[in-house]
Amino acid sequence: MTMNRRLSLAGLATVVDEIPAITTVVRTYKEIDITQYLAAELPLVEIREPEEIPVAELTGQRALQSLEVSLKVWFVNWGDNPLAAYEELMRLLRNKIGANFTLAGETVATWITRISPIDGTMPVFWYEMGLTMHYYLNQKDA
Amino acid sequence: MATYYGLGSKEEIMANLNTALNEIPGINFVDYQRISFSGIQPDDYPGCFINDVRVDKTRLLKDIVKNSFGVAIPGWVWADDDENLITKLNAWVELMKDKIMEDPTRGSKAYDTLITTIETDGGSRHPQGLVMLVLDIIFFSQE
Repeated sequence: MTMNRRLSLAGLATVVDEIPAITTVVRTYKEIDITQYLAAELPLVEIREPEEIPVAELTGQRALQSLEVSLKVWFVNWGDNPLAAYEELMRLLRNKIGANFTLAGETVATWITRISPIDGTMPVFWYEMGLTMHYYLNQKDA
Repeated sequence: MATYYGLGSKEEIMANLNTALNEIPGINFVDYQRISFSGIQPDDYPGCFINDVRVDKTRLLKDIVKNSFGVAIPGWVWADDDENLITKLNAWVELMKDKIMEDPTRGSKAYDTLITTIETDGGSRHPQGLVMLVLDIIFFSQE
């Protein structure tokens, strides 16, 4: 089966987009300007183009590659305490990725390696989630 | 869990301040957008003006703007011969502060109200005492 960086990241975007509570998924090579989005487009997950690191060289012109992906999750909350919304979104993402850790067959495995504390200013908040994705790269299919 | 929307307008917020200050026991005069005390009669003490000074806007999303609304409230009292001006002025400041902070959401039209400055005339107009309260009222809008 063909695996490569493009398909792995597309698989991640597809899986995250399947979460009903997530309204918008954006893949970007640099930090987005959140002021260009409407409140109705949040919660929004920003998938930044990741750093790619070779893990192991395998036989048959294959390599085990690692993508260090950062998801930034933006949401609007008008309550006096956004922690409940933050925890719920975090739970949904963790459960979804955990239940689909091969990202629809596009990766070998996916781990959540980091979750940041909540940040932002009333009523627009955000937090970051770090993922490590491993996939087998066939150099001929790169 | 309390929810603050703060999606009011400047006019609604000013109207709320007007209502609140008019409820201060003993107040005799409240008006908008004035800085000169000409025409203020002895019967108008104590009183105050409510002045819309400026709004600083910060865009958070395409349709959510955070507004920092600066409101200046000049107030005045008159000390009779047997009264201490500073005591009377301080008591008047406390009444205004308490009334303003009774509802920092301005009837749910604002997110918060902060009193950022309280400045007096330093006794330069004895027996008239002047005080300036400066408020920073946070509210949200689409533009």
